[in-house]
Amino acid sequence: MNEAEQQMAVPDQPDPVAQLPVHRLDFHFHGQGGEYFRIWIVNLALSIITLSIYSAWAKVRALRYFYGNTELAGSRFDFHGRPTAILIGRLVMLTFVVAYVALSNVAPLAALGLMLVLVLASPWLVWRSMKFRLGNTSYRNIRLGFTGSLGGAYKYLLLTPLLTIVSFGLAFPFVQQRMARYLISNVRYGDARLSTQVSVGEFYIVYLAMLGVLMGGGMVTGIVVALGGAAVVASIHTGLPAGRELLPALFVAGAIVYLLVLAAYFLVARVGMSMLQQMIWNKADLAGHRFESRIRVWPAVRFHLVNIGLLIATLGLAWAWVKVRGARFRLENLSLHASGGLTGISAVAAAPGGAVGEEMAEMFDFDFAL
Amino acid sequence: MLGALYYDGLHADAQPVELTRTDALLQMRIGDETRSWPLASLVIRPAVGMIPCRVELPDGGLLEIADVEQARAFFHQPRSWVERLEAHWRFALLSVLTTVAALAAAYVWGLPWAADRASVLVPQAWEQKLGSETLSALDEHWFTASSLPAARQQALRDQFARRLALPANCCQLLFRRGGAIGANALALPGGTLLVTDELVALARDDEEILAVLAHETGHIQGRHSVRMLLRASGVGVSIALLTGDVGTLGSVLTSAPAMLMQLSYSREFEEEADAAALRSLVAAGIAPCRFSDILNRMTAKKSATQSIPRWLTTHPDTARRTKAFGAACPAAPMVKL
Repeated sequence: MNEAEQQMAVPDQPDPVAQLPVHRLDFHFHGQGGEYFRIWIVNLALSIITLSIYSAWAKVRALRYFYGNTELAGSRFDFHGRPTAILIGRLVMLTFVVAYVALSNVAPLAALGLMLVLVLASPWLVWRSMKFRLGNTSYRNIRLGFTGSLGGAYKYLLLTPLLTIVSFGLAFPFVQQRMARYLISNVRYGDARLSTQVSVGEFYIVYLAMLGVLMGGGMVTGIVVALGGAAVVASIHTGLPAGRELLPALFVAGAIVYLLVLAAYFLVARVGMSMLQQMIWNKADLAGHRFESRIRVWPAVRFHLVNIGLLIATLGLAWAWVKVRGARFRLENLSLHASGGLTGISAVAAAPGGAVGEEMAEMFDFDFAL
Repeated sequence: MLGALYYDGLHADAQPVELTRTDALLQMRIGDETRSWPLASLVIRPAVGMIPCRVELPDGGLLEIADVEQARAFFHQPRSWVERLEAHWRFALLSVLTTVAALAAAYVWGLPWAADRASVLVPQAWEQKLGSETLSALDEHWFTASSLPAARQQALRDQFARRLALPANCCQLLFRRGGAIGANALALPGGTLLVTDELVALARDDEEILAVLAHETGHIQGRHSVRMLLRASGVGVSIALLTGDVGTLGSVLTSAPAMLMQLSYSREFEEEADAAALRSLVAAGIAPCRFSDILNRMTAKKSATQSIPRWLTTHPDTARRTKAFGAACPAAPMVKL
């Protein structure tokens, strides 16, 4: 690795570590599908038996399994969140959902008000969730942390997203890039700051590619469906007896096409997200140590296709294998080019937040896939 | 002796150390130095699968021992109950069975129970609104105005109110030309009953119409439409909650089962309405066999004219349903009311 490349990663402030020899440190994932399946299913059953009270403990065990099997330079990550903090978060979340469901049946206007409160609170929830999740993550006995300001959360998670509406969606990739940059660039490992220089242009390229694939696929599907429909309509009109008997088969064919379209949409979205992650990590650095992600489009397509196939074929039981495959796929393709090793990073005091935000955020499906 | 990595909690450096122990003390050799702590002052973090064993030291340091089995033996640390459950495939299999059984029980008993409790909370006004919206949708797509004379309609309404002894605000009887729907009667949320001209024509006499109306009134008094809606949305909500993990794929799979489950729910409600019909026919002094008669004729007519796919029909098969109402009525002509 040469000096020029180091300078590119940190253009404005030559770091002292840039002068040291660079080691490529690979991330590894040691989890096994069968082992995690037993952990997952036993904890799921325990959660059901305890009317989901145990699910908070189950969640901590799952997180500790994934963090504890994530290796960088011979050391593993760990998660320290207290199950009781998560339990309280889940209870708050449950109250919210029950209130919303009850109100939307009885007083839709009040339910709408509740939704508005939730929208206004969502940046705070994400902020709390980031603080909880990262503040409770450790590597080499040093905590990670999230130091983003609450104002920043409102700016990048609520205010700039309004641009998406104003611009009829054109600003969406820009909004996503700002969001990702806010969430990543406020992550700390001890006193080292993580940041990413991922550009707006890269986000536009990925989203345009996704749009292109979806539109192309949509056109092909549309033509096939139209031709099939026209053929059936024609055979009914010409009085062929086959036309009427074809109707049930047509229902089935329609359902299959519908499911295939959904699966394709899901696949494109997942592959797109993988590529965005790859770009974010390729432009990321931790106090001058550069990251490298080697995820490529076709391996990502194959990876997500196999996942969808596994889940459908096993009626969801393969969930544990899919999770383990996912962690392995992301981590085995990730490296840290550390100048002079990780020496020089030291701890800072940080207080982890509560779990309410994290639970609410997960329930309402904000997935940052950090 | 046990190898470990030591982290002081101040710097991101890993230092290889060697651990030995006595009955009460843990000793750590780091370089030329030896440090020791009472075993009672250590916190051994719970194991999950084969992740390394972590030992928290009283001074804020941390030991990471790669082989969790060796660490267990070294510290005489037994597996916790949950670790033991997670270690064996037989418990995994038991958990799969437990999960499937719990899901099935929640669907068969839990969901209808919860939906019925919740249906009490639905206000009458909301039900009325739902009914009138359904009616205008039906009028738009299926029905046309009835060609029954107003006097005939009123006569049927009077008999309906008088003979079935309904509560004052129970039900409103409306007439429509059925068209593609044919001879049929429908109960809408909020208490509106729809009877098609075709049904009036199909009936041998008014008691047969009353028999069908007794059944539809059963739907209304059981608030079946609201309960069905709540059950259906309950399925959706529960699946969303259960699959909260699965995320995007979950939402894809949510809607289809909800629709399919509807079918067996409706059947249960049909049986409930049949039971209500039987009770009110007996109370009104109308022979229950009148219901069997008209139902058989409706079914015969339907299967002759329409070819609705079998999976779209929700009514329990006629032979089984009419059993409780007795066989066909004696052939003797009935007095026209």
